[in-house]
Amino acid sequence: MQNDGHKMSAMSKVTGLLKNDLVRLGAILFLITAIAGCCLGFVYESTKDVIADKKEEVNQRAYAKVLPDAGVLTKLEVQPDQKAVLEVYRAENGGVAMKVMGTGYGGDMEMAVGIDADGNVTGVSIISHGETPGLGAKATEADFIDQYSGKNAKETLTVVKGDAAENEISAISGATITSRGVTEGVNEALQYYTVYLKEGN
Amino acid sequence: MSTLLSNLKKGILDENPTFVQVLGMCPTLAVTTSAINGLGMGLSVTAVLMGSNLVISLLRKVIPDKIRIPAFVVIIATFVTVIDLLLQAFFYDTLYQSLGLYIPLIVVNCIILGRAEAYASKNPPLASVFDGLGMGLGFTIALTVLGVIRELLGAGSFFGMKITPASFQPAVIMIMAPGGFLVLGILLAIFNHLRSRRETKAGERAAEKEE
Repeated sequence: MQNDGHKMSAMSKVTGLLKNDLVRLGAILFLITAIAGCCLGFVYESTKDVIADKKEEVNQRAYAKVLPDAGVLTKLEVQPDQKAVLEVYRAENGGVAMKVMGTGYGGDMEMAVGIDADGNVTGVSIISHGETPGLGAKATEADFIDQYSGKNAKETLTVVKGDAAENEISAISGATITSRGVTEGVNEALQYYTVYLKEGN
Repeated sequence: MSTLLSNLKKGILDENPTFVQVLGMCPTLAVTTSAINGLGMGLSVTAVLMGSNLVISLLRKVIPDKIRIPAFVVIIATFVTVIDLLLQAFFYDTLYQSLGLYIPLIVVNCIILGRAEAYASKNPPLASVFDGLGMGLGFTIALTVLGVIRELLGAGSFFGMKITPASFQPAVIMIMAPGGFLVLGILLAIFNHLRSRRETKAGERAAEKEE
């Protein structure tokens, strides 16, 4: 009997401790996280559509820039197993606009590539990148990016330092990795075009 | 009223988080490659700091001492995520493109946890908000100054506008990591020199009065 009573008091001590500290602290922390979670959910829900619209708007603006006079763009299904090609659109004038991915110095870069009905690149525009400002970020400037215009889908482009020949791209000085990343993306687009999108294929 | 103003001055001058406390160095060095990035990061931190200081000050009697750190972190992380979503929604093609990567890092910016622990958890709400505003502005000013100098020397532009003559060859190193350390070091030295001179002058004046 004496032993039992001893046990009981120990038990109540344990539950008392739980009530005092662990449970109380846990409950308060739970309450704080629950309220924080609800706030986050509310903000997420109310900004979700705006963010999606903004992203889509940026994409569409890039497509319009790389494929002028395209008219209405029709979205096509991207073939499975394509890691670099993200979106493909067919334009009314027979050209295509694509969103592709390349790997730069600061991670993935997304870019829009326009190709006309004859397989010539009409333009490239970088949608998002994480390159160093003033260095890799120069890839967005006309001096570099306009080099791609007019290149043909039959070619694979390579990056060189200094002056570029027919199917070569002159690298931005100090940002060879970025230049290669953009070129890699454009090459993916050209290859995809030749394999899946070329007229009469 | 005087507490509020002195809190502002404290954050901007006497206890400037960058130049005096030397806190939050990771974002300071990483984002200040251009003036607009520095300004954007500074203002984002200011918004988070004011919000988290307010909430933590309001809850300072509710949050038990033992779990204050996790509670602070949850509150700060919530504010950062909200700012991240708002920036995406309203500044997607301008600020978010260049700052997006660094916004989640604000959660671990020690200025914010530092102010929560050192000030907001012990002081009333309004004073805490002003403490956050002062510290935030001090941080913003420091980051913008760093950004302006690095952008000017490294890219030859001011807030994205090309202002140097074509013959000026920008020193690319200034917008890379070493440039960040160089400019920060020089600014720290200048700021502390001015501060110590002001203090010795004040000391001399006090000594004269005593005589």
